[in-house]
Amino acid sequence: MENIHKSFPGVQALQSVSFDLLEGEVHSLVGENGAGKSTLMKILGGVYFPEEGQIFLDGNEINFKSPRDSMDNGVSVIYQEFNLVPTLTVAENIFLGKEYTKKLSKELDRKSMNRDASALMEKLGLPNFDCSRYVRKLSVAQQQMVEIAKAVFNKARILVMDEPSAVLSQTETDLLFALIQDLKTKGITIIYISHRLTEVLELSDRITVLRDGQFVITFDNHEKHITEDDLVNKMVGRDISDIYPDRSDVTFGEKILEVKDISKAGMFSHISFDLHAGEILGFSGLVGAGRTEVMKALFGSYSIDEGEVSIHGIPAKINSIPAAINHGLALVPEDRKGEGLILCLSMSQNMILSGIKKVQNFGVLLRKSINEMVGHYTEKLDIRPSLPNRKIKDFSGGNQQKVVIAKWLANNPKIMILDEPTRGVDVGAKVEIYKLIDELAKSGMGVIFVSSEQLEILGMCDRVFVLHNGEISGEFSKESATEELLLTAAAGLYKKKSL
Amino acid sequence: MKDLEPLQNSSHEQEKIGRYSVKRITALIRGERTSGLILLMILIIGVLAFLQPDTFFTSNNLFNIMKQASIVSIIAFGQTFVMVSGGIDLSVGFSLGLSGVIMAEFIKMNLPPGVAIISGLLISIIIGISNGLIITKFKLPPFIVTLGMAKIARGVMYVITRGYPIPVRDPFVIWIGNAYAGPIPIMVIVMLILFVISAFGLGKTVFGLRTKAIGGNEHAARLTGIKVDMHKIQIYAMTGLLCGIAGIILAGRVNSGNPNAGVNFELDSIAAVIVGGTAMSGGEGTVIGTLLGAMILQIISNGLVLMNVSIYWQTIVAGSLIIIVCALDSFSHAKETNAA
Repeated sequence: MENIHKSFPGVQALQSVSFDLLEGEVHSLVGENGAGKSTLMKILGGVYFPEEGQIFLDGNEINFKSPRDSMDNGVSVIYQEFNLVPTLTVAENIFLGKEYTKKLSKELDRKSMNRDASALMEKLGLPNFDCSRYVRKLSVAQQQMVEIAKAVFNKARILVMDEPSAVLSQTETDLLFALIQDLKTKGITIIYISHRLTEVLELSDRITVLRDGQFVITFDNHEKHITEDDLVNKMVGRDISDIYPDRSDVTFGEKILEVKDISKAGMFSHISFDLHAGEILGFSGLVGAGRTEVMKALFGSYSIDEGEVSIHGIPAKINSIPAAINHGLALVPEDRKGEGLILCLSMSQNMILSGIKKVQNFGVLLRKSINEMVGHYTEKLDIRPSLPNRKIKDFSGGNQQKVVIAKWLANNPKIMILDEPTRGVDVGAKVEIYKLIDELAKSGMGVIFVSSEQLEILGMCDRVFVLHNGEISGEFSKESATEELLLTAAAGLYKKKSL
Repeated sequence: MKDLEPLQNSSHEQEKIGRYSVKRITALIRGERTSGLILLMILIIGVLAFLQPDTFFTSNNLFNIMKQASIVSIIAFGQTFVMVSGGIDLSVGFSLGLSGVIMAEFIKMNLPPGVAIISGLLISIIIGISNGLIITKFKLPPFIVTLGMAKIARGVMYVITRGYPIPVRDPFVIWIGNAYAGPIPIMVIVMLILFVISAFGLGKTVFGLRTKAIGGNEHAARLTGIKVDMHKIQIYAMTGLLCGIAGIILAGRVNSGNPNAGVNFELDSIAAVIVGGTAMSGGEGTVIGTLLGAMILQIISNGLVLMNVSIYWQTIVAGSLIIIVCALDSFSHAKETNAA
């Protein structure tokens, strides 16, 4: 791809970006949110059309007119939201548009499709995969495999994967990486887009960095001596020496939350911990270990079967979300767009939803109070652009997350639970969110910080609990915790309880 | 329109007005539904006034149009709340019919008219609450629940009336359905009062914002602490109340509690809401849009009657209009989304 330009009203999304691919390489594309990775890939996938610039395939200039067109030319893109039809079977999805039919009756030849689909899955390292199952019944990892199978069936030469590991557990990710290596040996070129730099470094032959819609650099990583710092520096365009705030001299207040032996069948069991004012308490572990469920139970979204939760030393019965809010809890959920925000509403409407009692009089919204509240938090949290009437979906991930946090601040919570607060947020915004969380804790709030990224947990938290299969498998102080220990505990292999 | 900054060094009144209309026009191009609908309505009125200057563009006829649109508008206000919250209410027509029938039956039984009217309103509220309760507690789709409720209400009406209208001679009921205050029909005044309350309710209150939040993302609304179930029940109950009011007015207008009243009103109200710009998926919508939608549909039907177009053709025109307006909107939205 050479000198690709693409602009949207008000934004120059891509500016003269050039990018080349060699056969059979893994080429990663990194950059902050909004750097133009997805736009570039959508151009390659035939979804968007460049205003200037050319695309060459095997030295011949080519224009992709539609997603179908680019697929026919050997480019398959696996988006974060899969393009599978959940109500069809695995085989039907793989052969969609190219179904086998019986000669005479034109009836679908399910038997042959299932057989060939299974053979395909076996080639991808999944023997005995039942391809007559419905896609909606598959796990996310399995669905991803189906997408890859579909790409291979469509004779993809270039396979683009947009954040494929974001939804996978560690084991699943390992399987995916093995498969990528395998595809590579078959001569398929992989474009790998990810926020997880460790993965990128481990996997890639070359790494291209984009920033603000512009090409920055392509690293050659065949020797694997590129470091994470090299990438981050190029991504943000400045040195980040201290990503995490300094929490060496923090003091804690009284115990504000005590959780004793709570259990919920099928989700978690015998969870006990406590939280002090001013403390940042980390919850680490693998996806699916039960962290989110514990937090949702604390927040009244699930009922607990047994156990006790005390707030300020007084047993609290939290059987609904409004009850949790009354007890001073706030939850910034894991899925920002699905659970944290109402995308069709404006930034200010989202921000006032929780503290709405403060900006109304007899049920009537007071414009002046709303403007005051929104202005206050927009400035305090540095939400950009400060356009309260703009729809929240048009804000970047980092600013969206700040709005979710602001929404709760208006309620003056005592305990703030943040579930994966920096997921899908670019490096610059991450640093700002870390700083904000640190400030909240220093102002006397108790913070629970749930994250799958060990580095983040180690950088932020004063104490860490690790969950495995719904149980606490390790507890560490800031001093004793290491990445290695957290991973061991997350896998359920850490036995000795130490503090 | 925040981004349309005023031009520099201009203090002339004339220029200000100029810029104001520029804003309006850009709003239309950008697909702002309300202004678009007003323009469409003016356009249709203009065409009809040109084609039928003697019959169409008289104050008499214009008030007649408003009168005819009143009943559907009133229930469409409720339907707007329901649809903005992501639901749909197919029981409005029969809820309206039943309220008139119950009132007429109670008056016939010599109960005081006040009691009869309140009973009529209550039955519609009960239908609404039942809709809301069943939808939220059994987690059933509103389409199914309200469809079932519509059938039940219809059945109850026929059981009570055996299919015949029950005459109403109560002066208040007849007054509300037929009287005029000066040139303005009372029912139009009632409709406009309800319009102001509904528009204020959806646009300026906590209740309205929460309704949008629920329609936009129910799960997120719940996690924000909104009592979603209770809120939905309130919305359906409020819609029931509006159906009840419309039912009483209609009974007054036709001097009877008619079991065939309100047939197809659920679809007419949905059409008004949709033409008015409320998203089928919920989260967005305005009551003024709904009112304009109802008016436009009624103006067209009225104009076609004046031009002696057969009633069958009128239906075809109305249907096409619904599709065209929504297609235009979808087109401008698609452009926006592509741009984003």
